[in-house]
Amino acid sequence: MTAQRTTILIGQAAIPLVLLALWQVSAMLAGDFYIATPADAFAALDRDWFFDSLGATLLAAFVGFLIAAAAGLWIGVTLGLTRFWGKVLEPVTLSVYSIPKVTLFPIFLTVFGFGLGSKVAFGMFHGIFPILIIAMNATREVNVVHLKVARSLRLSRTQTFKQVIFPSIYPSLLTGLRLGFSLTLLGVILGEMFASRAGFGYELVEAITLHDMPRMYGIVATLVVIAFVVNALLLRWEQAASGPRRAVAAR
Amino acid sequence: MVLTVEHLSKTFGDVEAVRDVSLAVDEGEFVSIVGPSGCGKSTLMEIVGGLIEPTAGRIDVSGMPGIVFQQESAFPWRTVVENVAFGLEMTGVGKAERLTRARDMIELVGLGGFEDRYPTELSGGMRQRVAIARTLVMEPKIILMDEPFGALDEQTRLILGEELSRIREATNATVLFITHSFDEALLLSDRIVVMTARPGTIKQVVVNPLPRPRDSTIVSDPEFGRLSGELWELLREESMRALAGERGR
Ligand SMILES: Nc1ncnc2c1ncn2[C@@H]1O[C@H](COP(=O)(O)OP(=O)(O)OP(=O)(O)O)[C@@H](O)[C@H]1O
Ligand SMILES: [Mg+2]
Repeated sequence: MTAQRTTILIGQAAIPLVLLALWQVSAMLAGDFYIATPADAFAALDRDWFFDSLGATLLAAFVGFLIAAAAGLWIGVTLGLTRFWGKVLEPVTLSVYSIPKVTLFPIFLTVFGFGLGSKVAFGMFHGIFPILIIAMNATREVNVVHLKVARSLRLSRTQTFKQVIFPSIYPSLLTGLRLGFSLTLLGVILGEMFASRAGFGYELVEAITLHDMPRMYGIVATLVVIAFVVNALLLRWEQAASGPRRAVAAR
Repeated sequence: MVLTVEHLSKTFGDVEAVRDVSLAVDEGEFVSIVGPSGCGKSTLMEIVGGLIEPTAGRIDVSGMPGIVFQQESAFPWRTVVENVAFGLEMTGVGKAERLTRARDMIELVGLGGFEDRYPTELSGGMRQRVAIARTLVMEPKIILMDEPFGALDEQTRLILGEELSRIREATNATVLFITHSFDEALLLSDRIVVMTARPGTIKQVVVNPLPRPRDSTIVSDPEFGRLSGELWELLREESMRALAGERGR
C-alpha cells in the first residue's frame, strides 16, 4: 500500500519533468524562431511587468471566482430545491452554457467597460456554470430519507440546509468549485486579451504581436503552473472531503 | 387516544396506495402492522408522521412522533455518536447531556465501542441500529417504526425487541410498528393490524391475548402457535393477491 503510494507520487512528480524535457527537445528541434527554450522563457519573465501582471490576473480571477462561487452555489441550490424554477430554468442554463462565450464578449465590454470590470465579469460568467449546474444536480440528489429525517424532527429551512443539504452536497460542490476556477481563469485571460492593459492575457497578445517567443512561452508556462497548482490544491481538498467514510453513502 | 386516523386514503398518480383506513391507538399501546409488500404500510406511517399529505381523510396525532425509517437513514458525514445525538442537538440539548444520553443509547442497542466510527464503516444492521438509537434517544411519546429490525438476524431482533418493550414500558410511549415477522408482532404488540393487498385497507385487527411481560420463550406457547397460524391464514390470501397483482400490471 505505502510502497505503491510512493511509486504513484514519484510518477506524478515525474510528469512536470517529462513535460519540461519534451519542451526543451522540441525547442531544440524547431529552433528559437518557433519555440523558445525553457531557460530563455524563464529569463524573459522580467520583473518590470511580471509581478504586476501576475497580481492583475490573480486579482481578477480571484474576485471573479468568489462572485461565481457565491452566486453559483446560491442559484444552483435554489434551483435544485424548487422543482418549478429548476424545471423552467434548467434548459436556459444549459443552453447558455453551451454558447461559445467569446461571442458575447462585446456585450461585457459595453456593459462593464475596458479593464478590470469586464474581465472580472467575463471570468465570473465562465466560472459560474459548472458551479451552478453541479450544485443544482447535487441538491436534487440529496437522499430523500435524510430530508424526511429533517422533516420528522421539524427542522427549520436553515437547519435543514446547514445540517442535511449542505453536508450532502459538499463533496460535489468542491468539484464544481475546482472546475469553476479553471474556467474563471480562462475567462479572465480572454478578457485581458481583448480589452485590458494589464495581466497575462494582455502581455500574451503583446508578445505574440512582437513575435517575442521567450516571453510568450514564459507567460504560457506561468499560466499552466498557476492552473496546475490551484487545481491540485482544490483536488486535494475535494478528495479529503469525499474520503472513504462517504464511499458507501446511503442512497 | 393519542393517535387517530379516519377514512384515510392516499393515491400517488394512478396508484392507489391506501384506501379508507381508520385506526385509533391508545396511549401506551403497541400496535403492529403486517401486510403484503407494497400494500401501503410505509405510506400510512409517513402520513401519520406528517411527512406526506393524505389524499382524503383525517389524522390526529398528539405530539411529535419519533420515526425510524425503512430505508437507511444514518447520516454518512456524522459519526455514530454524532448521528445518535443529532435530534437532541437540533432541539437545543447541551453538549454534555446529549453525549451522555447518546452514549447510553448506543450501549443499549449494542454498538458500544463504535461511537466514533462513520456509518460506512458499519454493517447494514449496525447502521439500522444507529437510526433506531437516534430516534429512541429523544424519548418520543409516539414511536413510528418501519421494519426497524429488517436487516438484523433473528437473535438480535428478539433482544432489541425486548429492549424496545422495556423502553416503552418505562416511558409509556405509544408504538406503531411495521413488520414482516409474525413472531416479532406477537411478542411485542397489543394489537396487530392485518392489511390487504394494494390498495391497502385494514383486513382485520387481531387482539393479542398473550400475557405481559413476554420474553422470547413465549414462542413455544401453544397460544402463540395458534395466533401465528391465524395471522398466516389472513395474510396468505393477500400476499397471493399482491403477487398476482404485480404480475398483472
Ligand atoms: N412517492 C411515491 N410516489 C409514487 N408511488 C409511491 C410513492 N410511495 C409509495 N408509492 C406506491 O405506493 C404503494 C405502497 O407503497 P409502500 O411503500 O407504502 O408499501 P409498503 O407496504 O411499505 O411495502 P413494503 O412492505 O415492501 O415496504 C406502492 O405501490 C408504491 O409503488
Ligand atoms: Mg414499506
